[in-house]
Amino acid sequence: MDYGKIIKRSWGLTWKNKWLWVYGLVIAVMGGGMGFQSFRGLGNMGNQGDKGNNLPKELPKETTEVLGQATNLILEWAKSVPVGIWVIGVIGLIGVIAIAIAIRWVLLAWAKGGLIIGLWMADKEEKVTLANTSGAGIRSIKSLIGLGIINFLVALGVVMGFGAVAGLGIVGFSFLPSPAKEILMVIWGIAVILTFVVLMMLIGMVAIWAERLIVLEKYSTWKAWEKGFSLSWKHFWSVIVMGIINGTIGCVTGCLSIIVALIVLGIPAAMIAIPLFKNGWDRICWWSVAVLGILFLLFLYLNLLVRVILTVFNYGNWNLFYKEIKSQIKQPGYTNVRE
Amino acid sequence: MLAHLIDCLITLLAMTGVWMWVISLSSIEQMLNGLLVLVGILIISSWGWMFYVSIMTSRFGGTIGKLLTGIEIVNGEGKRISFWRAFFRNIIGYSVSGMAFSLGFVWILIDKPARNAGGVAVAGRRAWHDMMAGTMVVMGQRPTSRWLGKNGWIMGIAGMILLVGAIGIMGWNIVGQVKQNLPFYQSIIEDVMQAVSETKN
Repeated sequence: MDYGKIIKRSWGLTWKNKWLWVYGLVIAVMGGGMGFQSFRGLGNMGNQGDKGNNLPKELPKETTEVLGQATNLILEWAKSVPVGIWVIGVIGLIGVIAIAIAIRWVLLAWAKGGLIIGLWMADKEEKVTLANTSGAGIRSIKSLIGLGIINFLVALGVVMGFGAVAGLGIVGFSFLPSPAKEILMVIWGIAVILTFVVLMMLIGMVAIWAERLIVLEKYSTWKAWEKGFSLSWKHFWSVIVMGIINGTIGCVTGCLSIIVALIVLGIPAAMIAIPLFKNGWDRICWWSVAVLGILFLLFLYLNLLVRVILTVFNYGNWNLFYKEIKSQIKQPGYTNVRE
Repeated sequence: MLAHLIDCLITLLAMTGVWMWVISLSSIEQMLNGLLVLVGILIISSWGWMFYVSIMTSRFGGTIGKLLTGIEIVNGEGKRISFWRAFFRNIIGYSVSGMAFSLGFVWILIDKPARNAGGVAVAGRRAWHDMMAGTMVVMGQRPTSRWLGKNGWIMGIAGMILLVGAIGIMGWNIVGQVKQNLPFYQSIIEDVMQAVSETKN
């Protein structure tokens, strides 16, 4: 398996067919992919910024009392509204949220289908546009959503199963005397965690194969999952290597892009922001705030562009990997140690 | 773009009316009731808007703005599209077009009109949502649409002027209402500040 050739070809396809960036944009914005494909999310680790909660742990007493009075007022008003109105409102809100989630699933499925077929066509040197790839994306929506649901349920089953197994082991070993109890618990814990990680990676790999089987070979959802599981099992280590390569490239590129953006945009922003602090907040220069806002938006969108390109590149790698494995299977005399 | 602007202005007109009513309320309980009604309207209108645009597009070829300007949305064969394709175009497609600084909408200025073998333009430029859904925006084929196709821009601009004027008048009334209710809003702020200072003492 020539991984270097795959990466080089994938990069060429990504850069040459910019219409595919539209699909990459949708997947990057919607946070698509699960399991193994989220390796590319490693590249976004540096992009998360401070999402920590900066609220103080304890509110001042005065604030608590004022909030308490306002809360009492709102509670009394809420009790005066008929219960039926609240029920209807909650049902309506749940409906809106459900539609929003459904729209997200449809968007993601369409984008994945369009991107996979677009990269396949690009590899065959066919002209790729949004118009001639969108149809394949639309046709794959139902099956890809079904695949996502199956994968989610399987993953949930695995998590619950391993949770139960780990819990049973801990309870079982707790009756043993020390130090056997501690030693066995540690060994049990390591074995359970390792097996769990391998199974979750397998589930992620299944998604990668199954998506391509659905879009490129027109498999039905369940058949694609079964075949995807079989391929994941047979080519486990090859996929691991590809996933590590993808994850490493994503991580390095993501971190580098953050560093470059911080230097190119952060230094001017600091030069504008520091005088604001020196002068005190009562002398805010509004044009400085506007420029800071523009620099921040520029930072966000450049970051998004890098993620878009990485997403397309990532999918290109998996497409070409799939093509390579497929061609190996078709060769006469193909054998695999697991067959 | 004119059609889209008209549709946006109609929506803005409706929302301005609701805001006018909310701003006119002059007690805390009324304001809370008003906010509850506003949330209810937003929930209903989000459902309604999705089905309105899809039904209008599949049944009549477009929303009110498009009908006013004489244009229609059709598939590659020049026929009306189905409800679900309209839903995909207007909801999913618009979401994609709206990402990245609404580049998908601006693409109308970059795309080239589709031309037949004789070089005559048979369809307008396409935005990303049209490319996604396999649709195109054309001049309507009904007699009224033919007239609108030639002169619809006059009606469109006139409609837009009327709507902008209506929104301007309603906005002026909102400002007036806010000024009238200013003592009420100031009293709320003063009550809160007083409560804070009392608890400090």
